[in-house]
Amino acid sequence: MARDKTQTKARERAQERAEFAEFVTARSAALHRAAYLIVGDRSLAQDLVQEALTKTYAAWPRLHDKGNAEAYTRKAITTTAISWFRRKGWSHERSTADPPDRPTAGHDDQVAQSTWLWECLMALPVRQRAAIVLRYYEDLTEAQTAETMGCAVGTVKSQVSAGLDKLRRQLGDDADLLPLDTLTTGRVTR
Amino acid sequence: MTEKLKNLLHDRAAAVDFAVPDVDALTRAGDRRRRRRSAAVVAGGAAVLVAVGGAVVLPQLLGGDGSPEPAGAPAPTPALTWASGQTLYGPDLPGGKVALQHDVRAYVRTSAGFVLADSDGTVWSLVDGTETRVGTTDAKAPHLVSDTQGTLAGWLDASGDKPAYVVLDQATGDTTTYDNQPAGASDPSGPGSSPYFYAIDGHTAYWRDARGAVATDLDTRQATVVDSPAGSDLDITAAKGGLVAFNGENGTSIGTSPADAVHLKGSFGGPGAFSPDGHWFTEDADEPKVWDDTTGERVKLDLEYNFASGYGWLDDHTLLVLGQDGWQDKLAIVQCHVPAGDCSPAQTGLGSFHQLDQEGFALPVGSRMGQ
Repeated sequence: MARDKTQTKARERAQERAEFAEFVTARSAALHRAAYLIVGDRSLAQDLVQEALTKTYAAWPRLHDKGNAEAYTRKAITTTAISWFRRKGWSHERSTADPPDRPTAGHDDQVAQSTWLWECLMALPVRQRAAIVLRYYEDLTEAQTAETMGCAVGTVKSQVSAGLDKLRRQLGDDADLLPLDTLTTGRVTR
Repeated sequence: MTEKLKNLLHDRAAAVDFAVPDVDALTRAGDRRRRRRSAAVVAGGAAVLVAVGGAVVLPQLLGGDGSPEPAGAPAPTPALTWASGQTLYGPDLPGGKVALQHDVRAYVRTSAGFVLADSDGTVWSLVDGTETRVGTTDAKAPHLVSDTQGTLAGWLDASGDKPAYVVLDQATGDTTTYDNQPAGASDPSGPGSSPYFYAIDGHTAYWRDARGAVATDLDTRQATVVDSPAGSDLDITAAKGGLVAFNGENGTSIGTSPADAVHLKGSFGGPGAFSPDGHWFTEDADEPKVWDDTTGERVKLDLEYNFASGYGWLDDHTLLVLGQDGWQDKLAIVQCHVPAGDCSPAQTGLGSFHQLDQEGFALPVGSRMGQ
């Protein structure tokens, strides 16, 4: 009887590991990319995804719908990133009253503009940056973004709005780069 | 807009390569966390915004690395905790315990942290390792309510000219005060109309005013009478996802109103708790009782304690039970899987009732033990 139980548990554990391995293989690249956009650092993004996947595996038996594993991991990435930045005070270090210098003449315009926008984005507080990444990179709805960040929809709106306002202020009158109209996004499958 | 912003995000993301993580290392780390967890387991009026202050820094509480667990199936704030004296214990807390700056008479948890009442009646919010004074409640019989899956907690503050309900949002730290008397309602008379905060479910608060038990939308302040007249502190014992546990002469019934509620067979009534998904309900009794809310049928639990009582939930399918073999024996917290009914010790050797009572023992149910 006890042996049967042990064998059953071993089988369940092996199945869990196989399911989890399949999930990691299929989705880790996408998860890493999103994490990189939130933290702006390759090594930190790797640490973040590793931590989030560890949490996901620890919670695997309780994730009754394994189809939700990616949403769970994405949420772990986002909340862990926010927590890390908050604890380490990185948001204060990186969030800035002094925006990066505008691109100087002589640069390739497109590259310079892209670099400048990236630097401005990385200078935002982590919550604002996470909200923008989830909305405009992951193409999540406001409700999905709120669920992922563990906050109210109104908070998502205000974080995105504040982030875009800062970018607009820093980028000046480049309407093409940051038009004033609100983007509507839909979830896309990648 | 944002085409350039979107393009930038996609270009930047595509420009970096990442190796597939070491799955074996992840599962080993995940297994360690599971063992640690289970070892621990063994183990309409006017609103007034109140400024918060007096922050006291404490060690991080949440998650293995200090960061919150994502909400969803598992709760971000550790579900398995207990307090004794000035210490909060729990397997998922750093080092298994956190020293507080004050004693704990009653406490609750939300998805953002803990809300605690001390013996002076001061209410504290504990979020991200920071303890903040947020209000005042009854020092003799503190009673806190919360939504374990949301960020709101509440209590009755009777320290002013007239009692008021206070709701704290642990996500923002803001407290909002609600008058306990609706506009135009007659003055309360008799004990039946004394204010009482029953429960919080999402952004709906259940409390008592002169009309009886009302459900108040905390955003719009619109109140709807759900049980009139309500005269006992246990008219409503819990609420989850729109379902309410009504306490009547025949015990507890579950529904959106007393009229449509399903009676729980064998219930004698009393404080209780819904599972996070609202499917199951447990009731404080001398034996652990759990019901399927949809049918009112009891679930059989394989548990052998002379005294045991369900008091909360680890997740949608795991009931937490406080158990004791004999009066002098030490208490244990047991986890029972529902509906399978199998149980195993989560935390043993908590101390006897007498000992714990002397030290001031509390579980995250919002009231003093035995209150």
